[in-house]
Amino acid sequence: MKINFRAVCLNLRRQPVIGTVTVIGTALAIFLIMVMVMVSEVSTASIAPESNRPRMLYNTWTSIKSTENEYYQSNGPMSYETFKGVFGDMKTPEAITAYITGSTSALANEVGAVPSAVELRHIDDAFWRVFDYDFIAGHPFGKAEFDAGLPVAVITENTARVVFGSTDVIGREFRLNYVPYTVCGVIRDVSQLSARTYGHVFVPFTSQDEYKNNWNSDIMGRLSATILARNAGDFDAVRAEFNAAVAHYNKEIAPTMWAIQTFNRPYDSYKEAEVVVVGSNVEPDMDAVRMRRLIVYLILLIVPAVNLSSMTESRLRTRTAEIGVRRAFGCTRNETLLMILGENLIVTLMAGVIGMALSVVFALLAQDFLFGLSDSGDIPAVRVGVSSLIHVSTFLWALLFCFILNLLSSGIPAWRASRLNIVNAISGLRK
Amino acid sequence: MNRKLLTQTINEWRSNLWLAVELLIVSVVVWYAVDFCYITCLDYSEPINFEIDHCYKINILEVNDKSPDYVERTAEERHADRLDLLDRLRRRPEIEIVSGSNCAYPYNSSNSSNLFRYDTIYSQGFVAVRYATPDFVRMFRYRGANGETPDQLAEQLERHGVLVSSNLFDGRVDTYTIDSITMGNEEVMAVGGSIAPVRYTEFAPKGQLDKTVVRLAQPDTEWQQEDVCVRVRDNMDTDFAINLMADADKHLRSGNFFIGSVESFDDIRENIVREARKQIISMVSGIAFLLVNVFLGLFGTFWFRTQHRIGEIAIRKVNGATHADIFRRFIGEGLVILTVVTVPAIGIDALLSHNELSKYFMGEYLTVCRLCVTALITYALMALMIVCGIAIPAGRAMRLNPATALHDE
Repeated sequence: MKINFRAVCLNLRRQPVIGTVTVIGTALAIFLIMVMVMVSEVSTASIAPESNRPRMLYNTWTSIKSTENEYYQSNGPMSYETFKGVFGDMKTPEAITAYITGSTSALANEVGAVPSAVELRHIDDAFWRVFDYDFIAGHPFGKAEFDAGLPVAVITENTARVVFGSTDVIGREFRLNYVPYTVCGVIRDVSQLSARTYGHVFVPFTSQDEYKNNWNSDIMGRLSATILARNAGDFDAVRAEFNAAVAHYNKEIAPTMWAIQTFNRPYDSYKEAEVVVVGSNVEPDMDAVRMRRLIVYLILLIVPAVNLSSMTESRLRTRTAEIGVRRAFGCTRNETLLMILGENLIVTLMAGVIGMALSVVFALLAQDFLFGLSDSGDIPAVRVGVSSLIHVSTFLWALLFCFILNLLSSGIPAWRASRLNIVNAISGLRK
Repeated sequence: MNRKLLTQTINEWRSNLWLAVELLIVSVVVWYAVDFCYITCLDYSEPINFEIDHCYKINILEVNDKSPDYVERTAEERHADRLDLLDRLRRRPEIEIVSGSNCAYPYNSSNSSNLFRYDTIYSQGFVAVRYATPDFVRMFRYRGANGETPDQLAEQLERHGVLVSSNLFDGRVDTYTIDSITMGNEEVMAVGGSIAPVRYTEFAPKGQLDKTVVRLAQPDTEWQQEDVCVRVRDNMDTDFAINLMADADKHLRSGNFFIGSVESFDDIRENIVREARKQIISMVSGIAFLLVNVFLGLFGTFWFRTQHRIGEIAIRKVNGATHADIFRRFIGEGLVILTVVTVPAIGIDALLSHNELSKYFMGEYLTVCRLCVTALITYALMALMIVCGIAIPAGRAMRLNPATALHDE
């Protein structure tokens, strides 16, 4: 059986209105689904500086519960003491980084110049091993500088331009909230797609006192952690080691009458994306999330599929005689079925390409709305590039949805057409 | 005519079945989205009971001992420095009010809550505890439960120390008659007045998160007034943040304190309501997508149907049918199918609500009135799309020349 591409195009042209409506309907469905896929992939796909997401586990929030009163609990970032107590001796992961949750607004300027508002991130030295920033000059600060709390900073390209008027600034001094800092590295600007890694100025958190702002017997504080596993297959081993470390640490803090409850943390990127929705005191119910997503995708596929199915049926009605002749010349039912499905798949793929292209253009134009981006500080924001929105998985999803849509929309009409009585079909009758 | 229309619709059952299935699915999904938007609109239209126009949050920071600008200060000197900086802000001509507060300013994601008791009656659910200076009430123009002005409320707060929202005990006690309440830790507090419930955001469900107790911030307790907000005079709000930051380095530093940033409350609000608004837009986009599909589906089906019923239409015209008759027949077919599927669709809608899958509003997931309104809106939207989708093919059918159409006969 051979599917003739020209014949498909001719069939479409023979019924231009129905053909156009079919293509628009399919393109619209693929467009909407792909916008949804892109929005959800932003928090789970590998996007620099989180290129290693498939190997990452997150412990953004820590939860503690009173051992005296079950109604007392606290949820939020952990203290440096807790980070060292729980994550300090873990051996299974490749690296673990601690950083103050979120960025803070700060003033940066050269001595005597007008200060500019920047987004400041307080991080440790392992941050640079877990996340992959693109250094255009200098180097990240290391363990010795972090441990000593030296006032060194890595700044973004745009920050260097705004504060110094140049990107050749390694070794130059500037004031950060009126405290002198020396630039040790300059990185390419990062977009706000990842709140975890976005910032303008990155300094060791030991160089300021903010990380010492603890509460609840120094168990809770300001820090979150991200773990880089050696490979995704290590996740269970990492969690087992984490649970053992928590159990051990809980014994240490027993006199405070608090105990850490893990809520099955640390989470992979899929589960972590839901933490933003449910909050820090609940474990995301991934079965419910998957079910909700499935229902939405099904509705977005089934409604256009029913539409398209009706139109495929209409188009096939005009080809009843042709199908009869094919059958009379030896074409089997299965071959007829596959021919119709194949021809329809070509139309679906053509419309799918249009829908996919439209979704990318839309995502680029409406990125502020779709991804919740907003200007912050005096440093020009970088736009989200196509490479951050389209991944191999995006194409695979688009292809999969085209196949499903094709099967749903032409399956029944094709099956009915393949079972036509040859004599009736040749005479143009369709029952 | 109507019976003929019905008979014809039944005779075309095979192709109409596709339409009916599509309309049934779309009707249920559109109803869900319409219901969500309807309830959100009801929530949104409730009074929020504060105002944020011309208001800004001033983030005050301190230089640390690693800075060459750092100066040694005793606790008293440090407190005096802070008051001095606030005074300098007050003296700026464009600033009308300066206030201090904790977990209190609008659209604040940090909350403090507690349990309250009057005699043996306890508050239910979340009660926000907001520490604030009297100017805070003036700045955000809180409303008195009985129409008191912000100035009167500020005076009551200053004199008695506590204001409570009128819904603190869910109407079981008239908050006007209360002279004191007891907090969870058994601290008894004198109540100065009653305010209208302060809503969390415009999108927060009605009656949730809006019970409020405002406590007077003590002048010597810094944490109770750590959030500094200002209201700018109405006619002097142009480029306020830019101008203030331009002056901040030279004129607005006191001891170790300096101004780190100025945030407009429009931006603070935007950050908080963005997700809720995104949800609404997603729902409306979903409705639009489904309705466009209905349009395309009907357009395609009826276009094809017109091609195949040329002879029938021509015979109708020969027998005296007017253009309007032909048009009505086509539109009528679509509306008959929609009306038929609307009955089971409403049943499914009610079932969804019964299973608490719809949006919660005023203690209910489903009321007859709400179901009627939302089902009616859904029917109207779908009917509109049906008319739009069928109008073009129906117009084509109307213009058929009977002689040409019946030429072959």
